[in-house]
Amino acid sequence: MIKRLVRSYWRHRLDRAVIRYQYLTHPEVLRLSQILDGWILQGQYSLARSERWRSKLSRIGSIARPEAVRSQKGVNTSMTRLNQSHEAFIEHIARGNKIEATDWMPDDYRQLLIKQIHMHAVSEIMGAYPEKEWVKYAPTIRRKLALNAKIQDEIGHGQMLLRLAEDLSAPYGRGREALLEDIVEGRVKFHNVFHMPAPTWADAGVIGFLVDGGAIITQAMLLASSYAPYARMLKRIVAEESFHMQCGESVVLALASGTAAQRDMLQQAINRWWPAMMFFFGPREMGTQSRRMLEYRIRTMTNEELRQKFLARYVPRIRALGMTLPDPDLHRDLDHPHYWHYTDPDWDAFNEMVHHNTGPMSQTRLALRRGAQEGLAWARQATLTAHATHCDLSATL
Amino acid sequence: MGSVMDSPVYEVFGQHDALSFPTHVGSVRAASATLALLLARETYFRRDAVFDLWVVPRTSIFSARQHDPLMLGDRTNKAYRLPSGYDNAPIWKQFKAQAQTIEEVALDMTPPRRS
Repeated sequence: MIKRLVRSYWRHRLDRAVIRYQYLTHPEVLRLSQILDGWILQGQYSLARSERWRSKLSRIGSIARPEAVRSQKGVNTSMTRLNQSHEAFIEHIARGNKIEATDWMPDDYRQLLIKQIHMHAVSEIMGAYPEKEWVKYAPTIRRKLALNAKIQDEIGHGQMLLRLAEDLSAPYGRGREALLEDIVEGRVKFHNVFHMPAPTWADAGVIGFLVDGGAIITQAMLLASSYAPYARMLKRIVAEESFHMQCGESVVLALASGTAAQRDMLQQAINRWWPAMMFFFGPREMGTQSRRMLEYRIRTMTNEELRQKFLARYVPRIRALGMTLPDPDLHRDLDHPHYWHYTDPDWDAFNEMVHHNTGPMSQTRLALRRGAQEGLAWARQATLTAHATHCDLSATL
Repeated sequence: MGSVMDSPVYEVFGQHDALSFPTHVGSVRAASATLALLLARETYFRRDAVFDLWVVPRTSIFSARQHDPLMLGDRTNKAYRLPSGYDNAPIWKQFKAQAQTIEEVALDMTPPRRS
């Protein structure tokens, strides 16, 4: 009886091991199971033996065929070394598996991730610039603290996301310096909204309300991304965005509850930002790269689905504030009340702006970024030199 | 007695599933990282399946509490930095609109089923 219990216990353990080393074939699993049972039944189970067992598993595993446990369901396995085809990868993701930084991945999956996360990181950083202009003019000390806290969060998010982009770019020999240089050299895009001026305090509020609101919708969608480090990091980011959302709404609600001049200022800001928000989610028909990202489950919704979620959430709220939207065609579809009709933004003009950094504020903000990047190069170098010197000294002592 | 040195300490982190963060669960003594992994599995995860297991030599951990405890303090009021520091719901209500929370947005954005 005891023998049988011991045996079944180890069978169970072996099953788990097979899931981990999914490249074992069935006959090999059986053979190993017999060997293992032999060890257990001969006497005490020891660490040394289990070590031998594990190294045997991985040695055989590395040369075995991948078909062994392909049908395992609900188990998060990594891609096998010998199963690295595009179809297998798509199937792997379709089963709900997540990809880690150290897992094998197709080149275009890696490149799409870099493109997405790099642009996301850079947008967080460049998003701090229009907001920082308003810190010193914010009407109360609490608003100053809040705006400052929000800007710190944006830069923090830029840091977290750059770490992910760095890990992905490592095979191309590109690190943080290169990824940041791409901004000032115009080799990476950032969100259109950060190319625009923020001339009034209401703009600072509307950025928090609508731009952060749009970003939250996109980021909440990305929580289901197939790339696990991105999805995990977004959990942290979305948790912090919760404060941004309340903070932006608070400014907008204060202005909406204020004097005629304050309400007018709010209306003007909404008018300024609305077309940019329609561009924010991208073209109605997605390009090949975006569709590829959908196929790879890097993202899970189309541009239009995201824009519709945004419209459903924000149009009723803006109208409830007694504000209007600068789009005469904005209305719910008669037959499909969940679908909003809207006027297309000037796609060409916005595209030109984000691709060539030709927006009203693009060059001013890039100059600030360049100043930070080049002006602080000596500080980054100094910390590295100090560290190296410290290590040398420690070694000689 | 005492002729054999104690083996080094490894701190153990377990990750429950792909989307959760590795969490510290305790430590083990082992002669190598491989053995530490094995012991960690035996000590802390005998029953539950675990997505990943990390062991980190304790000497590799640089702790703020030991290095500079002052940096950990939170003695100022940071309500302005927290969603709970804002009470927008009553004002939304005055405008006859519904207040929203990020949890509700996250729920709304769970991926649609595609065939």
